[in-house]
Amino acid sequence: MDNETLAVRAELKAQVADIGRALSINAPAGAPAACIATRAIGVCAEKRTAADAGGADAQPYTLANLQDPSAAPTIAKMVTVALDIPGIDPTVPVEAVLFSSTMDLHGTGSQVGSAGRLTLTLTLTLTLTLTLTLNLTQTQAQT
Amino acid sequence: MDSARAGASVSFLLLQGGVELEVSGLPQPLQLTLPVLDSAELHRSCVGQPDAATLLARMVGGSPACSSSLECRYWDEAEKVWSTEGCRTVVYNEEGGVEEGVGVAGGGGQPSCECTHLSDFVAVKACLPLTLT
Repeated sequence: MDNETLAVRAELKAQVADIGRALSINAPAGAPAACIATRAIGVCAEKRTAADAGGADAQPYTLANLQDPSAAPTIAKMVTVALDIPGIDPTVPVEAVLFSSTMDLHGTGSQVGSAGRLTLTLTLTLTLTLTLTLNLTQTQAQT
Repeated sequence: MDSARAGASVSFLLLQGGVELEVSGLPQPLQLTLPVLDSAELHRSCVGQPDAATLLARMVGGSPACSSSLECRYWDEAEKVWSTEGCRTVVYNEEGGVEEGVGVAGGGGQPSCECTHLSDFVAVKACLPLTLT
């Protein structure tokens, strides 16, 4: 994988974390997951108390396949009690972000000259998504 | 070994106050199902790394041996490669237990990862080397 593709991957992940923050920052702990989906990505963010974020009895985190509702959802189960994870502050809620991408950075991103176009497309898509998400969050906060 | 991505990549992040947590060395592994683009692939391929005894038993029993396997890989940030190191490919049943028969073709179960760290994950279809000696 070339350096440009690695840069695209890093940018994608950073922007997804931003979207996850935007989706969960104003949510109360325990609220249903907030999700968005485009043709290329799906993101769900959920805030829980640290005590409820993990453990054998904790609810798994799910990400529905919004492009194909008949497909099985992606499920992540944090079996470890979150309070046992080093660095966790037990008094602060935990935001979990589950993200899926159909973009093939092995193939498309590795082709000569394609990484720049992919970066531009990705940046525009995610910036637009993030802007819409922030507007939605502000609208919800006002109402 | 030839391999190709079989589905979307999945990432799982934990944050506190908007700051991403570095999570590794979990006492209990994270359990994560992985999407597969072509559901027919679940019946054509083995899941996980079938051992030689499983493959031999299927050949002796008259069942077709699988020539490819769906396995979980994670993105190794240090080596910049998709890796299986330290992760286990499993199939969960409806009760959440690990399904018997991992490594057997035609099970139809969803490939899943058990890893002790958070990262980017993907299901990869890997060709199994079939050698007659």
